[in-house]
Amino acid sequence: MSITAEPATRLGPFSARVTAVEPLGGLALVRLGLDPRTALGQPGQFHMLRNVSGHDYLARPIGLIELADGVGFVVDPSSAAGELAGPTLELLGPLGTGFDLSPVRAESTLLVAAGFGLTAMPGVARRHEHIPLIAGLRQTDHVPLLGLLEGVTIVAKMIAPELVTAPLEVALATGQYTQVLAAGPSGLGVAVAKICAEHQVQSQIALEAPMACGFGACYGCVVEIDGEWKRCCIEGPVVDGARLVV
Amino acid sequence: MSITVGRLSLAHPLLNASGTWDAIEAHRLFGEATPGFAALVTKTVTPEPRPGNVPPRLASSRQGLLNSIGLPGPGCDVFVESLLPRVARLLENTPIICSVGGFSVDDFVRTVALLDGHSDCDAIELNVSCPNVESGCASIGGDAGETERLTRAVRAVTAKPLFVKLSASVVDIAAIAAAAEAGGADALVCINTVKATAIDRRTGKNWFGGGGGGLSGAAIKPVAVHAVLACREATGLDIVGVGGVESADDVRDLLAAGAQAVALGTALFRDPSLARKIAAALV
Repeated sequence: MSITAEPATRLGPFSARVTAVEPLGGLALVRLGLDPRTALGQPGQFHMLRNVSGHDYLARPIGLIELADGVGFVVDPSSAAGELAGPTLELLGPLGTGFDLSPVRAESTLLVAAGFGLTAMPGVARRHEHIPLIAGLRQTDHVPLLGLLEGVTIVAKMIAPELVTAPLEVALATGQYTQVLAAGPSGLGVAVAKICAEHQVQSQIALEAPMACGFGACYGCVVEIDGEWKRCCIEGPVVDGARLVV
Repeated sequence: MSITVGRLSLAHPLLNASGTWDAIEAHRLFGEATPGFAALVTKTVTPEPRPGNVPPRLASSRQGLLNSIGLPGPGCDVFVESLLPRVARLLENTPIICSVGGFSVDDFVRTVALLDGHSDCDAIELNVSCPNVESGCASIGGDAGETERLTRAVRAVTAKPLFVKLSASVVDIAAIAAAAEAGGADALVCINTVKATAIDRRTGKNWFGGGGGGLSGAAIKPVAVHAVLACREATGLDIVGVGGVESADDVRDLLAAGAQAVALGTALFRDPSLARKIAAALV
């Protein structure tokens, strides 16, 4: 398995207008006036986003979503990141490593994603219809987030405090799956990687970490990879799960 | 707009602040190792490898960034043998200023002596002002006598241009600057991040895993301007002004205060092309 980085094609940030903000239960889908052919990278990669008229001093790492009719992202409007709802954003990216989709087969690959990690999966689902997904949601009013995942087959929907790891154990015990792609909070990523290792199933894990730059300069986003603190924006965010269970 | 700072000749007055740029990753991601920098200042290298501080290492602030990174790095041997030559190959003719940190005079002397024999190192910056490590850097830079002793000891093992990076989180920065001059420094770098921290509202305790932190960004620009003015009055040394620079006007302010060169830091995180834009605006 090779997880590779797509080079960003632009040195500086570029601008995008927010074209619509649509309620998504307790969350919001922010649509951007961008061409998906040029703006998006691989599923799992991220952009640094900043509202040019907002309060945030620095940009935030956000995964853009490949929608059926454009490009967008999801925010919690009640959080500090809610100011990314527009009207004009600066974006830098795509950055970091994305999922290696070459070994993915809908019949033998399982997706596991929780929270904002779910937004990494539409790009995978678009290329592999009926791919199975175990979804984790923080609260019931986040369930509409699943509407973005057209084409996936949801095999389990867990709402906190229920954990995605329980149905993952059951699914891997069937022996059907040879590959797991997971995205979500880092604690979830490590737990999924360990379960996959126990079942001798390969895993690619998209990690989350706060970032100041997104391109390796600040060393603020370190996570434990290979038993050491390494930069999530450079080594990841998508890493081979085996590197998380050293 | 060529300038000379600390005996180092530069094509223009803009460079990066230490710890705010990875030339290798920038080259891989953007195709340019040092876009718009007249010189590259490396991340601080320490004698031994360091993992850096336990996360969390970042905290947001309305007018800047709080960080507690803790000088992670491969140690001076790996830096000198492999990292520095690799960076130099990418930079071609852009000078490299190697930032050096340590926890004792001997630490600094060992690393500087290694760098002195390396043709890829054009100048040395002594980081005596990092607020994020448990001892050493900032405790030396907080004391005039220690600063003079360190600078003198390092001066004895290198003829390369020697810069001393100061902290504003001291009682009297002018006294520290004068001590660096007495020890044989060629230039001052004013300023490092300002000591600061954040509170974890869930626990009421320090947010940072590594303890101490530093504030950078727009909030500290007036502090940097004051420090440059104070050091200009106290010494005859050249000065690199650092702190909250985001625009050509910010650069002009620091130059007017007495700096010969200006370094960009946190603002590069949101726009890695900023040095080029500012350089164009300065012409």
